[in-house]
Amino acid sequence: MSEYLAGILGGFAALADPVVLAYLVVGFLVGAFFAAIPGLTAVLAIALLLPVTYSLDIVPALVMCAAIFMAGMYAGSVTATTINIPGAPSSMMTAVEGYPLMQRGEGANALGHAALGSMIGGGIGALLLMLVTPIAADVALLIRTPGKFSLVLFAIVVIVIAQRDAIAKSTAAAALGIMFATVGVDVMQPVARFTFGTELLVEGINMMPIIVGAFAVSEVLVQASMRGGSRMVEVKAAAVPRIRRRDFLPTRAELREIGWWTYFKSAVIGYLIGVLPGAGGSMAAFVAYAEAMRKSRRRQLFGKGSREGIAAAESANNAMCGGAYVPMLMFGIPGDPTTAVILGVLTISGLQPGPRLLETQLPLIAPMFAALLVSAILLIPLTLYLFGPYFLKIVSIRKAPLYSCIAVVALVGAYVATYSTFQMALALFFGVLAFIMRRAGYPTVTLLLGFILGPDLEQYFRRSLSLNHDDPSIFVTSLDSLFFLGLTILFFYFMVIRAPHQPKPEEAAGTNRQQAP
Amino acid sequence: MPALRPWWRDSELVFPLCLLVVTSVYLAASFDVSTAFDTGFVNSAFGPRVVAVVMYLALLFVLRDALRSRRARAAEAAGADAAGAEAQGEWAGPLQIVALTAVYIAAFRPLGYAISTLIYVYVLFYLFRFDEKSQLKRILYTVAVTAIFYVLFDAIFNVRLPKAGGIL
Repeated sequence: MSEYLAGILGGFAALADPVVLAYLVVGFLVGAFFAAIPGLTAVLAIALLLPVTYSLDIVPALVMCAAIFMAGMYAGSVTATTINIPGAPSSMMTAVEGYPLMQRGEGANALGHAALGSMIGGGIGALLLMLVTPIAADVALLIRTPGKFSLVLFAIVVIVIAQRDAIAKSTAAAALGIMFATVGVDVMQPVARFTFGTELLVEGINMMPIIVGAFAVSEVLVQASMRGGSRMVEVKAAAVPRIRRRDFLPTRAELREIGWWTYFKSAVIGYLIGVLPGAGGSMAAFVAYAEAMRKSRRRQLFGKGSREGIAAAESANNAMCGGAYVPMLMFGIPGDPTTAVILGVLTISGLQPGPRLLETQLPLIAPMFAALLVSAILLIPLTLYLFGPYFLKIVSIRKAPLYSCIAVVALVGAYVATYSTFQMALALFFGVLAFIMRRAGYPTVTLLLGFILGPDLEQYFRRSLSLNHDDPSIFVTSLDSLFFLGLTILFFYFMVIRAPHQPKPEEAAGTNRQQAP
Repeated sequence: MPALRPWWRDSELVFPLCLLVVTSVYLAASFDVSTAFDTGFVNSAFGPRVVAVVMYLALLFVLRDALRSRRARAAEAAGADAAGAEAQGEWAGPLQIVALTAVYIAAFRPLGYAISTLIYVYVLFYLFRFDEKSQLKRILYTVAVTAIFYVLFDAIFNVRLPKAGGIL
């Protein structure tokens, strides 16, 4: 344990290296920039960074990803509060409460509360990550192959049923992802599958063109289909009065009203939801917000500018960042889309997720943990103080140069990975596919997670059977496997069969809120 | 009230039908998968076949929902002509970008990064209607974007970008 603590402290020391620190700050600013602009997300920022990681050292690359992740969860609250358009989906509840405050001339105060909530939640999430990961690693070592199969199955089922309005479409998307993952050499035997006679597919499909296509190229296509749609954002941003720095600071009376317990509870809720595969920041914010509203003594303020609501939502979505790392690092199961892309960065750099990762690669992983904490408790307040009054200028940026730059970075980035235009063509193919899927209401994130988890699912299944003379009863006689199968049934029962009515944000807050573009 | 599109322009219906075809091709190809050594029933083709079955089941529900939703919309719809015009407007922009990007990818190696990217970015600006009144500004922005990413990839990240004739 003392070795682990020394390793974590070493992670903080690594951030003192000027180069690593520069990547941390640049990553945070890039993440904040992408999250502040409606339509762009932190996932897109990391997806664009992914090809560049081929020529970066692993520590700065992972530090940069952590900073982008944390900034991405926080900065969506800026446009959510000021112009009622969440920069990121996880800031929807912040828009419900922040915008009414903005209309009353208390926008700066709402931004201050959002930053404070993000800071506390992000900090608690990062600390819990540091504390829980070694325990999770010990537990992970106890899980044998049949248990690993059931765990991956549990992850896929939860990811699919998390899309509660479109479970059939989500299942189809996950199956499509798994189908793409089966192209190339078999996971157990030296046999090529589904190459259709071309040598280009023998090595399989790389994760990078899927990520670049699904998040970058498809976004450019979406923007091309709604040219002029961003005009509304610019007009609304131009109408916002000047924001003064001195108004950011929350008062003591406001903090007493919210109570530290609200921050802590919301952060823990966010962290635990982060651990669940596929749940993500939006669900974390919504559940914590609903819990804060349920317990609040000032429930009547919810939907009309409740600072408690902002604190709960922002604490939870930033704490989710820490939670999402746990299954990704221990089992290679991403908790949300951003960690799915970070998993790509890890594997590109030759790091294999698993319980031994902390033992063997702690000097490479610890700076990433430290970066999460530093981003939360130092960079969030600093960014608000330094750039808060100018955030709306970012929102008003012209879309043509922005999306043209994204297209160039995405395509040239795809080329960089293997110096092959075939990868560029694949990125375009997956971009078109993701665009059509988005238009038809299919979750593209499920496609990506199916692609990532598919090979593990198949490998653990076949290995379990081959080790047990093709006897499938091993999945119910092995205790760890039985536990995860039971958990899968439990989640399916409560999320699908006995699904509680999930109110829409407007319904929860009792207000009409404008939809994000 | 959104008007009803013809079924072949309704992505809710066409996309699952395409997936149905793709899955059938995939399932057929799974029968061609060879095996290096005998592992019994659970061989290299087993997983893909299970996935294909799951896909068929999911598509069954998706198509059922799409048809129900289409019937509901048909009851409310009016003016199929207007729908056709709307669909064309929604898809024209992305189709232009896809065609342009395909040409860019094809020209990337033969023309080199600089020339192909200059043309690509300029046409992207044109399609996104960036500064329609000032050609000079558009050209300056095009050169700036191309140069910035050249410096980023080539000088900072040491990536060997293709050059036409080894110069540009």
